[in-house]
Amino acid sequence: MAILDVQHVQKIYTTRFGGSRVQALTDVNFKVERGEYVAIMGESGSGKTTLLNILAALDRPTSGDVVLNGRSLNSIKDKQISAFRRDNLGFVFQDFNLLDNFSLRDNIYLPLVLAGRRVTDMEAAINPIAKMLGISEILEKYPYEVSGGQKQRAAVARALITKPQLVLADEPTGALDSRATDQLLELFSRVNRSGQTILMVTHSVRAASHASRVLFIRDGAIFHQIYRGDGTDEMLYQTISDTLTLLATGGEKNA
Amino acid sequence: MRKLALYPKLAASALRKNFRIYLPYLLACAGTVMMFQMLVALGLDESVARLNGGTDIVTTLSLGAVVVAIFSAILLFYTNGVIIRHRKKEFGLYNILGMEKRHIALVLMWETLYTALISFAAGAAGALVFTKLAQMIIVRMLHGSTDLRIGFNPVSLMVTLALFLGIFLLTLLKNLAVIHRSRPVELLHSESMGEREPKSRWVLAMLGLILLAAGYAMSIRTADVYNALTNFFIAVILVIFGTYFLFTAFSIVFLKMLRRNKRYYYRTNHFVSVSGMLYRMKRNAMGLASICILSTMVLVTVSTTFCLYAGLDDIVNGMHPSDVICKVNYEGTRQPENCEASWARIREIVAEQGLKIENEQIYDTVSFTTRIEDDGATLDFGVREGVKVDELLTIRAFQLDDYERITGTEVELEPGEALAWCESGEPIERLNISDLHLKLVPIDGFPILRSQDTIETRELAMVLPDAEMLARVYEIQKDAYGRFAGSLHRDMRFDLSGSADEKYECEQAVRAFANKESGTNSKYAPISTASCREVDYRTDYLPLYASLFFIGMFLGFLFVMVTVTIIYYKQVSEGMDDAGRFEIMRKVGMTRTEVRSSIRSQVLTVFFLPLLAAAVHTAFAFPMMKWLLLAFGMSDTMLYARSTLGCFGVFAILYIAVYLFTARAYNRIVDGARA
Repeated sequence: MAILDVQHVQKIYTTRFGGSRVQALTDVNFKVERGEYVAIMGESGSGKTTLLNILAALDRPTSGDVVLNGRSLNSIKDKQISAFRRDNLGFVFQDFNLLDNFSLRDNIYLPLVLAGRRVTDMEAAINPIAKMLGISEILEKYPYEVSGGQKQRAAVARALITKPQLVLADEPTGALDSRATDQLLELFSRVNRSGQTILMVTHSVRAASHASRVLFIRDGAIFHQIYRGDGTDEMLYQTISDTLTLLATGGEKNA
Repeated sequence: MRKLALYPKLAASALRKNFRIYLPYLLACAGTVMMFQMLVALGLDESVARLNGGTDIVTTLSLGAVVVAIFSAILLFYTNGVIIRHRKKEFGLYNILGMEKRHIALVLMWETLYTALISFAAGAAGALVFTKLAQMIIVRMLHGSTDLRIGFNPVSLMVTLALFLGIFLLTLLKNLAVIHRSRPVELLHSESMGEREPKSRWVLAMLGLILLAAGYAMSIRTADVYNALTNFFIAVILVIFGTYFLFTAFSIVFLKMLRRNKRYYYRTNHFVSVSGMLYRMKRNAMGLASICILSTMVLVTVSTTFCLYAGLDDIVNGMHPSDVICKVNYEGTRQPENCEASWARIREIVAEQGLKIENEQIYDTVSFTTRIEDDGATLDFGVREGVKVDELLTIRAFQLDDYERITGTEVELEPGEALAWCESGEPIERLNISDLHLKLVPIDGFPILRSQDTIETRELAMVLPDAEMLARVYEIQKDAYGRFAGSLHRDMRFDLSGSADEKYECEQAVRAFANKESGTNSKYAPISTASCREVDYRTDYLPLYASLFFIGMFLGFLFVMVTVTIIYYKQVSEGMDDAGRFEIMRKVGMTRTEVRSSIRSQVLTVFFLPLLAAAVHTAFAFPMMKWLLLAFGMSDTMLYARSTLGCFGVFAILYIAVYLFTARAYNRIVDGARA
């Protein structure tokens, strides 16, 4: 069963006085199955960020719909959208978006506190996640006291602690060095193996090569997709590179 | 040519672009320039100096000018600091785009020049308008008994220019130092750099509590005027330091305690606001403590000076129980000749002025203050240190002849007896004055009018059987106290019929006679003092108390202006800090309403804490201020209580208005970052 169904999403931005119109998404159409690990690749300006904002319910499509776990995002009222996002989606951002004035533990608790959970529940929820992400020892530290990789792992913990239907990751390795990147991608794979559905937007081939499926977006539409099948990360890496080369040299769809 | 014009243009456009944050700064500059110039102009004006009691007014005004100068410097320095902190990014950008630090310095110099020009122009214009207003207020307060013409005074302009050029130069130097010290990358990121969490400083927190408690205790335990006068500044300093320590250290300790309470802390509102306050309490605490102290200053200054001015009539009546009191000192125990001639001449003068004498009383008297022993009967003439005011007794002694004449009664006194009337406390039945043992016969009320004492000691009025006995008492205390002893003198006191103006003329004539014509070698006995109610009211009390009230209001306005500006910049700078944080919270699923309500909860707490603390300070200052007011002759505690409450009411309304206004600015900044 598809956990996420993106149906003919179109997004057009109009400048304030209705002058020029910019078509960011022309027609995006895809599904994500439960437990899948999907990477979306594309160059700057391809519409990646717009798509992610729509999936995150931060923005609404001009036409088309997004159905998450059987519920249409269009049908959710503005008032409920924050609560919906909190309950169903987890976010990992490129620049971590941790709050400086909270310890890592409090940063991870934040969505639970907003949801009004009990302290005992929160304490029970954090331990297994912190253990899996290897940050149990540094929970009491503040963001400015830990490395970038540790910050991002704390951000992942914050995304996971609500047990979301879907984790949305926006260029999660963008601000990390190569070692931290490898560690984080390894973690993402492990999280995915535990059954968590992940959708990641990236333009890093290495990041995408960990996914089970890679979608390519160009000019506001899904242009191509690659399945991992039984191949290794390295094989997928090679396929993605080839595809990107093809894209860059102006290959036609499904060439 | 082109290149030269670049920097002024850049400076002008920078001011325009940062208009919202610069406008209050410009207003504060212009406001302080205006206030300072007004005070200096008033203090230097000849028509002010020529007023009755002009020297008092000029002294008060110049003291006020010093206070204004100090607070202007503090305010402008603080405000400039906030602005420059938020503009570091802009300078970093300039630097990265290829401007050298000296070019940025040039831009800053032009900016300061523009700021100075605008503030001087606006301030001088404001001063011109408001000096007229101040003139009208002063004339009104002095009951129109003046012809005040305050003109333009170039000297005041020069003094103001010198002071504020100095202040602006200092702010410029500080900004240049900030630019000079920093590296461009730091400039770019300075706003997002996380401030470390403050440490709990238990010692400082406890010290703050102790200092504050000590200051409060000092005020509550004030038992007399001397006490109040000597302890006032100590108490003020204790409370100021206590407040700063409490806000900086205690607030952090307290917030950390809240955070340790998990049940309380992990609630949406508390979670965000407690951590938010804790996060920047280090920087905030000073601002909050300053707001608290300034608010207290406004409340105390305005309420006391208003109360003095409003209670002036009572004060003057207290000090002058009769319209005119003239004293002729005895030569030792011998009544000077020509005493009657002096009294007769005074009656003539009053008649020449066309007024009538009422309630005339003539009597011999001696009065002195000494310690009374624990037995409540024996007077202790020893000279000793550390005597408490409640051990003291002021004795006013008269003789029976005068008493009988004034009251029109006949009194039989046994040998060793005296009539006595005690204003308060236990009645005294026996009195031992050295070897003189008196049995006191109580009487109801005392017809010779109230004394002129301002310092309230317990008072005993006593009528001795004859003049010899009075002389005896005089000599006993004379032997003990020497030249500090009370004198034996013959008084004439009376009231006048007629309007205030007529009284004023008449009293001046009486005083002229007392000062010039009466004397040892004339045919009139020398009058040592002639205290005249209306004359003193117009030349001493009214100018002093009115100018105190004027300065009180003036400083009140200044403190309010400083408070408002600090509050505004606090809100703006916090809004800028918070915008990013609330953006993140929205991304992880906080609703707009939740953001709003947590902003409100945080801002409300931080905002009304200083007002609350100021109210507590003012309440605890009350006992001590009550005694200080007594030193000015003000004994109406109810009036003081009413004016304090009134001031607090007005101030609280003003404070809330400022809050609503600045909260809007804050919300705009926090919301604006969303897009």
